[in-house]
Amino acid sequence: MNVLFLALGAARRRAVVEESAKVVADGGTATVVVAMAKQWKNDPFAPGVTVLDSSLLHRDELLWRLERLVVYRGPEFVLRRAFGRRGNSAVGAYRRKVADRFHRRAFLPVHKRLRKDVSSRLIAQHITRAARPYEWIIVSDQRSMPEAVAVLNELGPKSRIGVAWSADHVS
Amino acid sequence: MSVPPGNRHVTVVTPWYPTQMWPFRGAFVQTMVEATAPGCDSMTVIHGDRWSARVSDAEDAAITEAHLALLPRSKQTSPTAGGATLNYLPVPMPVGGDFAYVAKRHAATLNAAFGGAPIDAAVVHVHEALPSGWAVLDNLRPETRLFITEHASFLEQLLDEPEAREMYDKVLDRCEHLFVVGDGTRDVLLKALPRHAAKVSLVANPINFGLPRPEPVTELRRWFYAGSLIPRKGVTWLLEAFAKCHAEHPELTLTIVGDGELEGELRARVEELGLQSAVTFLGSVAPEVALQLMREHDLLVHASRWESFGVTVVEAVAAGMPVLITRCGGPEETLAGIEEAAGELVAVEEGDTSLVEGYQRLRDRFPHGLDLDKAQRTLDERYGYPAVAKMHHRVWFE
Repeated sequence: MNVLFLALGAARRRAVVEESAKVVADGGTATVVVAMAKQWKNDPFAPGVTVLDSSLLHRDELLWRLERLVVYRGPEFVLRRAFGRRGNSAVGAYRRKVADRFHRRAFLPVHKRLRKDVSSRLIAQHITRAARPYEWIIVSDQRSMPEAVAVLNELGPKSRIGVAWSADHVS
Repeated sequence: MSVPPGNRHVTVVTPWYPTQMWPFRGAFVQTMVEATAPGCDSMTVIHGDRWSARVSDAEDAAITEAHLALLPRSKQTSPTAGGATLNYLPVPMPVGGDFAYVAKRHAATLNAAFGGAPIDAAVVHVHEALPSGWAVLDNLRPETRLFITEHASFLEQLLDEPEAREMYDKVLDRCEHLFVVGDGTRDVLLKALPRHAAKVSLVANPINFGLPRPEPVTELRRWFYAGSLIPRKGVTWLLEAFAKCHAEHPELTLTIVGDGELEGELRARVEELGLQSAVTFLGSVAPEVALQLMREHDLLVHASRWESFGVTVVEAVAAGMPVLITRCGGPEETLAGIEEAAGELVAVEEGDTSLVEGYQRLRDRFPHGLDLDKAQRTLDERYGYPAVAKMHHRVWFE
């Protein structure tokens, strides 16, 4: 059984962690789509469960690539040239103290607001392009409900993927 | 399918039923289903599970719209205890809201799920008049018989709300009988709604006595607690009492099953007391795991301030374990006549003294001053599956 958990609200973390672990333990595959991975840092997933930060689905977009260029690759190129042999440690410090902080605190929140309507299309693309077809979408919390409807609309009426509120009801 | 009224088709509606999210919550409903379903033609359990989140009004409206769109195409059913079918319905709502509001949200979900059609059952048995009783009112056929079991430990607060009390009154008007699991709950209910006294009677939560422990308890060494880690459970006093007893008897251990707001405080206190090697926190576990753990421990210790029934106490005796518990309402009733045989009941105190002294007394008279076989036999007759199933089948079908 190949299951996609929509857990964008992170409100029922224990249920998602336990249910995804059970899917994998029963020989299936489980992918959990989360809005922010850091919300789950105290709720580790079982080995074999794939966690997908929904913001990462946007990586191929122009906005995302521009941020990579302006905030990461450009400054890192300059730092390597300027610091010579010490360039790698300068780049590491820059990433930690500047680029990653900007990405988390400024870019991601703004990006989420601007590109919200695109998330469902990207999740639908992830579903249709999956090497092993997904059989079920588990809508795990209430914030995931509107996204689930939008994803199902993107997938269209011919999609055979099932919807449930808990993996316990599809195993 | 249309069920003739005479047939033994039952629908149970409950806001509580064990899930991966809350493995303990509603375990007593599950045992009731396990005990009573085998005597029915069919049983469906509708679990309206409250999903709360901090959302704005606009977000709530969008979520509600999406929820209604998803309901018809979602898979909700799966097999559950006793051969019954579980129908799982999330009930999304913002955090907060009074009891009346919560009940209305449950009703809206149930109405949407049934699309205006009545529940196809000769008998509907709800757990909690609010929210579940209120939720089914618009979905009953005129001939469907409605029964209620009330367990709510917060019943007094609920009935203090005028709108909730009025709704409760309407549910009681429609139901044939309401069962409560303890005298305390009955007193609270009849104080607020005395005109329904004739409909109210006591019922027991069913307990499975068919799972004996491999070896009898030979010493009172391994203490066990299972329940929420909240102030009402008196678990901080339990820990303090354990620390004092451990100082006298260093071989003692304590296993704590459950979680709650006091967990961090309790863990810190264990470190402060240097009891890390003696105290184990297991978090929440599935009910069957908790029962297995009871068969691997020697003494149930509970320090609740108030309980309507005290399922865990009866489960402990069923697992062959003596009990050291406070006189917190339910346990005095459940263990009436067999207190000495089952263990030791102590006063509810804002302190650990009664528990420490109770443990010493219990230790002094163990094993010959107890009669666990007698306690088990007595409780099996009162709360075993056959007894509880027989009572339910009689009121439902006769």
